[in-house]
Amino acid sequence: MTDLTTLAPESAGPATHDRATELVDLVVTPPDGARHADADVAPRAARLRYVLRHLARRPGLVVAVVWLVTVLVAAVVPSVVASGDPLAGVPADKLTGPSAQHWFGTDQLGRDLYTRVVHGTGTTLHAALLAIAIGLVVGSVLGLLAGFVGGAVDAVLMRFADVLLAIPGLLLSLAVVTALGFGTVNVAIAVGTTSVASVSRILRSEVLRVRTSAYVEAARAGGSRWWRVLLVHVLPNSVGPVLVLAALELGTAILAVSSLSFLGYGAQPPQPEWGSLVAGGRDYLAGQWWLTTLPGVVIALTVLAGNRLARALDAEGNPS
Amino acid sequence: MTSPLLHVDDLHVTYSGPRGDVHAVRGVSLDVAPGETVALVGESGSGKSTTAHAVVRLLAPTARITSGHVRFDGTDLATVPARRLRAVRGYGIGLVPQDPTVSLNPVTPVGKQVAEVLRIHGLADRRSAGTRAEEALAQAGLPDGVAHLYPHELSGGMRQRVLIAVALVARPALLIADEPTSALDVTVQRQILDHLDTLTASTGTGVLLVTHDLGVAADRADRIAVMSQGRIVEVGTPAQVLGAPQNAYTKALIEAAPSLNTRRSLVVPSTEATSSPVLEVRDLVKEFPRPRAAGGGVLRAVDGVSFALERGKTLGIVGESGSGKTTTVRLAVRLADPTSGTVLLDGEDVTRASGERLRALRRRVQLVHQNPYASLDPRLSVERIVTQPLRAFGVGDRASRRARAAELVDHVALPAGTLARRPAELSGGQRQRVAIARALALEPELVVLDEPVSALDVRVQAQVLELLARLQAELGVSYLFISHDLAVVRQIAHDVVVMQDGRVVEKGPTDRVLAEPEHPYTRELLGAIPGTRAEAGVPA
Repeated sequence: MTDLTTLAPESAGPATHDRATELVDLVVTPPDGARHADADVAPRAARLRYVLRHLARRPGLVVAVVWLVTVLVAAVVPSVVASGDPLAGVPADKLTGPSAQHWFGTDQLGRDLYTRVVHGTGTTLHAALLAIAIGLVVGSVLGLLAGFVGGAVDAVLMRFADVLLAIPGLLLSLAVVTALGFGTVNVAIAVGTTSVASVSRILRSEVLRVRTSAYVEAARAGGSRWWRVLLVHVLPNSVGPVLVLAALELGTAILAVSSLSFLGYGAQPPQPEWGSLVAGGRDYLAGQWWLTTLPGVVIALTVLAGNRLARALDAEGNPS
Repeated sequence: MTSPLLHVDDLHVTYSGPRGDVHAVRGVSLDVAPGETVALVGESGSGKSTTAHAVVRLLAPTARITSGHVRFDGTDLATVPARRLRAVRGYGIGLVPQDPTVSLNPVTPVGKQVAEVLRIHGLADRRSAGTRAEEALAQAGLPDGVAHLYPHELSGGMRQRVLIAVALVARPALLIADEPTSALDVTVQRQILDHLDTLTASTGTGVLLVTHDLGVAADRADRIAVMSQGRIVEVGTPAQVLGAPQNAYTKALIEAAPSLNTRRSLVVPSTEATSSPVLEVRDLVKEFPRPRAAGGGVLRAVDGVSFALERGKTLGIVGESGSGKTTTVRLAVRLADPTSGTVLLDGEDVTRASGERLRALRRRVQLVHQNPYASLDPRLSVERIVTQPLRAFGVGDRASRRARAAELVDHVALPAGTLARRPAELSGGQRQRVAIARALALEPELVVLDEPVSALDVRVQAQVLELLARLQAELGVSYLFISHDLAVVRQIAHDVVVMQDGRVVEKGPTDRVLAEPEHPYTRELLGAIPGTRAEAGVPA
């Protein structure tokens, strides 16, 4: 890899080292920059090499992706990552510190904390993803309508968004979850509500930009119906920033879901969940630090990994 | 010849980018004598602007001068330290930038921006700088009192005059003008260039004029240097270069320039003597409400416009910016609603058509936009773009649409491989061909072309015009052709409508209107076409 990068195009004599220049060309040509006539037949190997080189320059991104993949596996099939039973406690082993046998130590009932964290991933992630989906779908519909229809619809929807933005997020979630009752799905709805306003705001501004572009007018002049214009041209060209926001919100949502669980609104014991695990260790903070710290570290790492991925997506969407 | 004022010797400039280095200027040598005007002519990407900017080392951060010399006033500007270079810029060499709309500081009065040059070089104190700035603005042809105005209060032509005043106030020995009038209307262009001529002639300033327009170069320059792919391919007096071009590229460029080829015509001979009009508009009026801050009331953008377009023919609408020509066609194709007046398509009143009737009209009338860089959805492949109108009307199934796309792309002379590409992978000319293919997909009776070639280089322009003429001959389609360029309209239109301030000032067959213009404005437009001065001296 590195020997190719150091080969600058001019250092490889065009006539003498045909093969070398060819290789450099393949590496230098990014997959999207198909200015060369033969670009659409560019071999798959060159594309793969380009992607690998791209990643090699961003070790943080690789770590973030690996971490998120692990978290996803833990969420879908937790028994692969931790084979034990999260609910089975061995009272004799209660409150032991991290060791080779219990990586994260054990809690006051002798349950293995690592197993509980792994098995709690599904609940937390499920709630967080549901929250983002709700925020994304509702926010997108509102933003799309406001931007595309305009006028009174726009004014009413955006004032509604203003009201939502004016209430602190956690307070809004608490109000919603109190009204709906406890449980993971309700927590997800409560957290999702808080991101509706920002998603709709961003999508609206993008739609306003795209709506006036020449290709949208061209589609209209070409006889497309309004909903076709909306779905084929306006939505795909304006949804980019919102998707980046959604990736960014993943971290926030995990934190918010954990916060609500910590406060006791989410998953009910003995079901493990990241936020309630942190809450459960509160009483032992003085003597058994691992009960709060290690689940907390897992939450922090997941949030950071999500943000790093969002940043990468953002950079991909807006090549400078 | 006396010793040259500016002597560029074997200059090389390279841009380094993520895809490797681009050698933009490859060994350019050039002299400008005192009082001489040298025009640097070429298409976009030929390296002409890079050469001009390299002289004062105002290059993009990614560009660097790899070798060569720029001798001016005894120093080599290519290697001189930045501090000494600053003393030359503005004082020894003035620069008139390309785009007057973005080249002035929007939060400073223009007089101050002119005076700034004098203050920087210590040529005047605060008070005298102000008076000299006002003198310079007056010399640039601006009325009194302009010095206190902000750029947004001035028109494009006036802003360009301010930039000329900025460039000339310190009485530099050399003026570099980078496409100084490309963003302006032809009549304004002529005034500005006339003025620049007088000013530089009276002070003996040498001028390096960068332009893409051979007509402008022919009119204004003592010598023309033609650039292509980073090299100067031909140098000579306008009579030599235009009259007896040696280089193949120069010949192609002259061949393509509409203003230099008044005799070339692409007009398709019509088969029928008289036919019913496919499109007719009567007494169209469009008013826009003025913002309350501007005093309220209404702005009449289109004021009682009537014209008729016969089937299978081309009607050209000519006018400068603000003449209402684009608004008129937007009304004619029902992308905007007129305040009053009628639009007849094939004798049927469609002025207030809406819903399905409007969609039926869309099927018969298609539009090609001015800017091919903006009118194609960047996320779709060419195949999807071209078949978009077919899908909108549910014409054919997947396989037949695919076949139709291939046929259309072939019609506009693009390779079949284009179908899988995205707009970003195509050049401007290719994109405009895609836009034309899209407009033809439904076999419309009328295609409205809004400045279809003004964003393209002359050679590409000529190719697209030829394509349009061929398609008209083959398919019998009618064109409504909007342009600011009479020279282009002369080549393609059967009839022409000249618009000024929202009104039609003259209309009739193209030959008659251009040969014997009745309205003074038409005569003014005709006279302002660059290249007309030179044409007299050039054997065709």
